[in-house]
Amino acid sequence: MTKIAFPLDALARMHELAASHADESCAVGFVQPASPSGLFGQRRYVVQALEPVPHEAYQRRTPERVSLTSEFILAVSNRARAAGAGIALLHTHPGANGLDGFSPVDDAGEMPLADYFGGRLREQAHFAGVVTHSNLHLRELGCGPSVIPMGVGPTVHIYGVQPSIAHSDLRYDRQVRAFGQAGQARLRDVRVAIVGAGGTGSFIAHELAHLGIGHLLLIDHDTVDTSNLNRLLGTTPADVGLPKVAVAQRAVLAINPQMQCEVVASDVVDVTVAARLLGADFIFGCTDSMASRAVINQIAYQYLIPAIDMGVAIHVREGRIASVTGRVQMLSPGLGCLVCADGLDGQQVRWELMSAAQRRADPYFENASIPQPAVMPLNGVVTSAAVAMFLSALTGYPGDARLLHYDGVRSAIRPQLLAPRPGCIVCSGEGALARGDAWGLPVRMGPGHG
Amino acid sequence: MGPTDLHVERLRAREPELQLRSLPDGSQLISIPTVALPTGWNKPSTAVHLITPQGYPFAQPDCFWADPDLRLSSGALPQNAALTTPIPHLPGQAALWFSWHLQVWNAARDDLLTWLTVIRQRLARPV
Ligand SMILES: [Zn+2]
Ligand SMILES: [Zn+2]
Repeated sequence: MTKIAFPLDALARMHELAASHADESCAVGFVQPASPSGLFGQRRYVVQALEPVPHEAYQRRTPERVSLTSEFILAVSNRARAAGAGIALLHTHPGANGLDGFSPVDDAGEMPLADYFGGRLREQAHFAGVVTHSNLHLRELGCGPSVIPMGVGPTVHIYGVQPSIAHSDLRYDRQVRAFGQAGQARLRDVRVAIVGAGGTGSFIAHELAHLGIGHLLLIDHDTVDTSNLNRLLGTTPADVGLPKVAVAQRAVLAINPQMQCEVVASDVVDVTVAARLLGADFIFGCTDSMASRAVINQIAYQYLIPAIDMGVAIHVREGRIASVTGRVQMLSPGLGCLVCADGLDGQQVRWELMSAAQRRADPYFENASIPQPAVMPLNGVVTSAAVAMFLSALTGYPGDARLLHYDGVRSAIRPQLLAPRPGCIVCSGEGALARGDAWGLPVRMGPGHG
Repeated sequence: MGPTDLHVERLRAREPELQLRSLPDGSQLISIPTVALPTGWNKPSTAVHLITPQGYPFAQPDCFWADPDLRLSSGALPQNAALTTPIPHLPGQAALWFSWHLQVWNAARDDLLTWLTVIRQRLARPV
């Protein structure tokens, strides 16, 4: 079924208007397709710049019906054409007892708008929605089929999903007691991607398999090395030389044979591999590559696919451990991104995106392949914090922080606030936010890298 | 569309003459035909060519190119410059390579105007 993702704060404003304003209120947003290859048979769209309609654009506004001026409709149509976007037209059903769904008045009013936008913006997809104080119904404009709306922000709200977990399944009994049938159903339905199947990625994969995640995509271009065996959860000496994703896949299927687990033994910074991520609903960034981080960071905001990025580091100076640190950061609309956090090294991204030939030709390329210290418990602390954050975003499990710092020397995990920078090239409306396929990703275009 | 296009348009507002070429690896070659030079060079102006690498602006720009016949007024090659490194993907187009690097780069703050300012500062010193 088609999914359509909105920045959560824009939807929250509409719920608030439905609760607080006696008359119906409208909002208009711009729709971009968000999955070029229709992965998993899903179609996805993202909605950009969803704003309540200004006061003067209402022709008529009562508690039961609303209409907009033709000048406003024309201006919206022109803006959409310039952006190559479709239209999302939402209106509220006000009050605690507002009709929870489309009314016959809505059906009648929608057809002329469908003709109008369908005629003027023929190539684009258009949607109509009804917002109550707590719910959202969405369908293709012109009384078309329903689509699944999602609000994506510090939490992920999926509207209208029916929990359907077999009560006889004792396997998740203790979790259902914590986050309910609905929470467990969400874990089963969500499509999760893990980028990097190394020290942190292997932990995340194991925990997700135990939690009952139904769909997992693992991406890593690397193979298991003898020096990885100290920290790749689930590996044995016999795995040396195998792709890391194959080892992780074997482990998660042993834990949870019901899981659908796909693997890609390739680098996520390649354009075709990055495209695979667009079928996911949630991404874990378990990579120490700066270029991969730049790709995941942009996908999170451009495609409204939330991600949790993590990093671990042990610094040894003069033979002594000077610091043991971890960072877990959720990337999603309303939260500051990795650019806002000064978390991307521009020189490193440039080198990582070069082809092998380009690196050889670059007289300043520094091969940063000196092995860094790595121990399993640090990865365990950081990844468990990341999975708990994921549960908090998806199921209502507690834990509001979306940026955590672990200081292993002081044995402390501290939450931190990171405000998005106004005008940020990634996480703001002037940047990549909800651009979908209309923008490109910071990927390596051609084949033949190394 | 993407961040590179936004930054190119921002630069074009300041440098209306700029020319843009897409290179095969997805990077962009930006050429500014006329950049004025102070005394100390062998000519009053030069073209400047710079590249937005793949992954720009998260990947930072590096090095630039000028007219192949640009020299100091003494006739000597400028410091950190050579004719041996052509513009990527354009081996046939003669250009003088300047091995010149950004000290700081932050995708949240910096853009092609930043980079051009750094290039102009280099060209302001005929050494
Ligand atoms: Zn209605
Ligand atoms: Zn940002």
